[in-house]
This record gives sequence, C-alpha cells and structure tokens, in this order.
Amino acid sequence: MSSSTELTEKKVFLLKSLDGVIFEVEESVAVQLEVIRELIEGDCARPFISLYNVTSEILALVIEYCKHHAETCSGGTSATIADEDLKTFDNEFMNVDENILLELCSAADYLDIKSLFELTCRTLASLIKDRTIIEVRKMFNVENDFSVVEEKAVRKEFAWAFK
Amino acid sequence: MDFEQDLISDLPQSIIEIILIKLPIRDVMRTGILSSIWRYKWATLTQLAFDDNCVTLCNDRAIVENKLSNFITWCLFLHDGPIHKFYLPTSYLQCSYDIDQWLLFLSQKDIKELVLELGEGEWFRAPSSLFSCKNLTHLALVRCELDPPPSFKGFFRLKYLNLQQVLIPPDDIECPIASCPLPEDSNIIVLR
Repeated sequence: MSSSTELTEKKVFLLKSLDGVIFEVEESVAVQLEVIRELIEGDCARPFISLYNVTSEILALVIEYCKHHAETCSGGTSATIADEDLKTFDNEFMNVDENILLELCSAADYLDIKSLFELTCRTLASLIKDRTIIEVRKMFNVENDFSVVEEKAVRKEFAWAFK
Repeated sequence: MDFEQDLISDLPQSIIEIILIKLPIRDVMRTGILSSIWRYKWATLTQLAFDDNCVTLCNDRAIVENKLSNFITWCLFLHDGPIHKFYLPTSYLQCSYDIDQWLLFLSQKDIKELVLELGEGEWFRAPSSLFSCKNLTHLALVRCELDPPPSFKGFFRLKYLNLQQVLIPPDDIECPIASCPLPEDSNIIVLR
C-alpha cells in the first residue's frame, strides 16, 4: 500500500490476502512473518505471496503491527525507550473488539508472528479472567447449548472447584 | 454475520491451550460450563499450575489444606492425557499422602517440568515414583527429603535443577540426581 515511487534500494514484497487485496511491504516487515521467511530468503516470493487464511482487514492490522515493531527496533533509540514505546503501542493496538482480536490471534498463529500471538493470547486471557460464565458467553457469542437441567448438572459437577 | 459468530469456540485446541494456561486454574476450570464444546477443553491442558489462590482462603488452616488438596485431586482425576508441566508453590500443603498420589499419577503422565514448593512443617519425603519420572527436564523442590532408591541413576534429561531446603542422606549426596550442575543458590542439607 506504500508508494512505489521511492527510489531506494529497499526490498519490497507483495502479500495477497484471502480476499485478493495486495499489500506491499518492506523486507523488515515481511521477515517478521516466520511462515514466509523461507520463501523470502530463498528468493521464491515472486510475484506475490498468497496468504490464504487472512482477510485484508486483518492483514492490514498485522502489517501495521509489524511495521511499528520494525521501525521501533531499528530506530536507534535506547532499548528502554523502545520497550516503553512498544508497550504503549501494543496496549493501544489491542484496543479492538473481541472478534477482531480473535482473528488477529488466529492470523498471528498462522503467520507465525510470535510476539503478536503472545500479545493476543494474553489479551484474550485477560478478557476471560474474573468474568462470570454468562459475561464470557456474551462477550464471545458462545451459545449455551446446555438445557436447564444439563447446565445445573454441569455446574454441580464443577461446584467442588468453587467452594 | 459478525455479531452472532462464535469465533472463540472454533479456535484450534492448540491456541485455546495457550490462552487457557495464561489464566488462573480456577478460571480455566470454569470454562467447562460455557457450553458442551467447552466442557472438557480444559481437561487436556498439558500444563497445570496450582497455588494457594485455587481455593477461597479462610482463617482455619485445616479447612484450606483440605480444600486445596481436594481441588488438585479432582483436577487430576478429571484430567485427560499427558501433563508435561505441574507447578505447585504453596504455603498450606506439606507432607501428605495426597502429594504421593499426585506424583505417582504425574509419573505416568510424561511429566517434564515439576515445581513443588511446600509449606513449613513436616518435610515431604519424595516417593519412589518421583525417581521414575525419566523425562524430567526441569525440577524445583522446596522443603523435601530425597532418598533415591538404589536403582536410581539420575534424571538424565534434566536441564534445570533447583533444590531449596532439601534433605539428602549422606550416602546419596554423590548420587547423580542430575546430569546438570546444581545452581549456586541451591540449599541442600545432608542428614546426620
């Protein structure tokens, strides 16, 4: 999505989302997607790399994340400032609705971006923590398929854990 | 339609496991009530981390001990499949027959990382089943007594060993508990 008129030596790669949108990314971003690292290093990434499991909406977010991380880490700032900056960015980046968060988590797993996977899993866990079952069901649209009698029985089965 | 989609239940078990192990075990267990799909998702977790917060604390120590022991026993009883990591830092449990049983159970579950930090009181004497955990790579024990059986030759896969306030009979001090060197802050007491 960046301009192709830049007269730099920077290597760029084209990533194609599930819904056919093509994104242009620099090497520093592309190498963070471990799943395509071999393709990049083996120079097999032409003309573009198809990422079949990621929609353009999610891929745009993933690229934003990798771009910020690449820029911060190579920005020449001290490690402590860079860490603080990334923490702030990550916190803001996780400020999305639950479904986007789940899709980001799946995408990070598929694309093998360890830091983003860890971040999304941690955020999902924090959303579940200390919430009631009813709240968690509502948040993630989990259908309660237990009948009233079944649910009572299941709650009884787990009751020992909550005494 | 987005607003009705249940994306979390469709996540692969490998991802759900990573999310669940970041939760306190009480919250993990409670996910079993979400829906029929979730009923036993927790039960195949390969990592179980217990601590004193698993149960509601109260002033009566014996009640807390009992509740904590029951909680752990029931979790293990309902668990299904291998358990690679088991953590139990606790100030409430010490030497008890329940811990013997848990270790026997874990020794048959391909345990690789074991952390047992027990409370003050009577020291826990590790049962022989501990020495049959051949795949241990990480072992941390606090306030235990180790008396390996004569047939024990060491935990050959061990990469990390931390023993604090651990009793070892003098004859066994040279016994190869591990193939890795002890960390400097280990605290081993030789029995007289």
